[in-house]
Amino acid sequence: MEIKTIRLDRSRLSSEHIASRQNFKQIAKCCEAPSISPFKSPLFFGAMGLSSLTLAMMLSINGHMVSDENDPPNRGIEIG
Amino acid sequence: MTVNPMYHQTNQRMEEELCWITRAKENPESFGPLYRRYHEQIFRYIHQRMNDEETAFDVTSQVFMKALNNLHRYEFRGVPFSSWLYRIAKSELYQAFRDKKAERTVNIESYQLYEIIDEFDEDNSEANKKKLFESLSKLKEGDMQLLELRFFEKRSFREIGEILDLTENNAKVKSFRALEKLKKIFNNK
Repeated sequence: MEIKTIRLDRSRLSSEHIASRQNFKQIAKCCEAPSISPFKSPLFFGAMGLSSLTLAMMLSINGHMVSDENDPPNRGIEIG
Repeated sequence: MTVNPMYHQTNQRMEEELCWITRAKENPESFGPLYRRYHEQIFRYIHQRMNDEETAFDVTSQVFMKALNNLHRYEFRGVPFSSWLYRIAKSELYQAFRDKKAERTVNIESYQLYEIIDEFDEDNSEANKKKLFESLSKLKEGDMQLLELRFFEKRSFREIGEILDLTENNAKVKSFRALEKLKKIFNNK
């Protein structure tokens, strides 16, 4: 970076002049609302939690039913 | 050398700002108080380093737009919010120089030159003032940046460190080295 000019005793702008150039509406308008990552939203965790719970319950119920079907009937002790 | 109290912030003021930032993360409209508080400081920082007033106002607007757009990334680490804004301002300023939207200019007051001459233990003559003025033009950008922050704008080493991403001690060492370089150029003239 090359320093092009060095200026001595430039007139200082007044605070009133600088304040008169404030335009917050323009700043706010140009900026879209900050988006929160869907992975950080409480809705995501709620939905994920609920679906995991449902899935776990379904697997558990299904597992019981399958094991019931596969188990041979208890015939007791056969004495020859 | 006295330090400008404008850059020092109380814990209460920092906490107040933190509330505004939290609110602004949810609703950009709440960024208004921060914008009004720092608009002049950031504008002066930018305008001090360039020639054109209109470009300085444009770059200032870009700084606040960028700050608002990236506010969700801001994390409080014990340093004032203004330091984060200054870092954005520095980056936008040098981008404007690269894009040739603005020309790098150093603006100095006569009394600031005399203060440096005092640091060199030289007499405040018109000849020394001219000599120092010429010596400044021989400095590299990095050294000039440090001198501007420390000796022209009277910022604390902590503040300089926060703006330039240096430790407080490193900012102190580098500032004095920059002054030493200037002194060397001055004495060789």
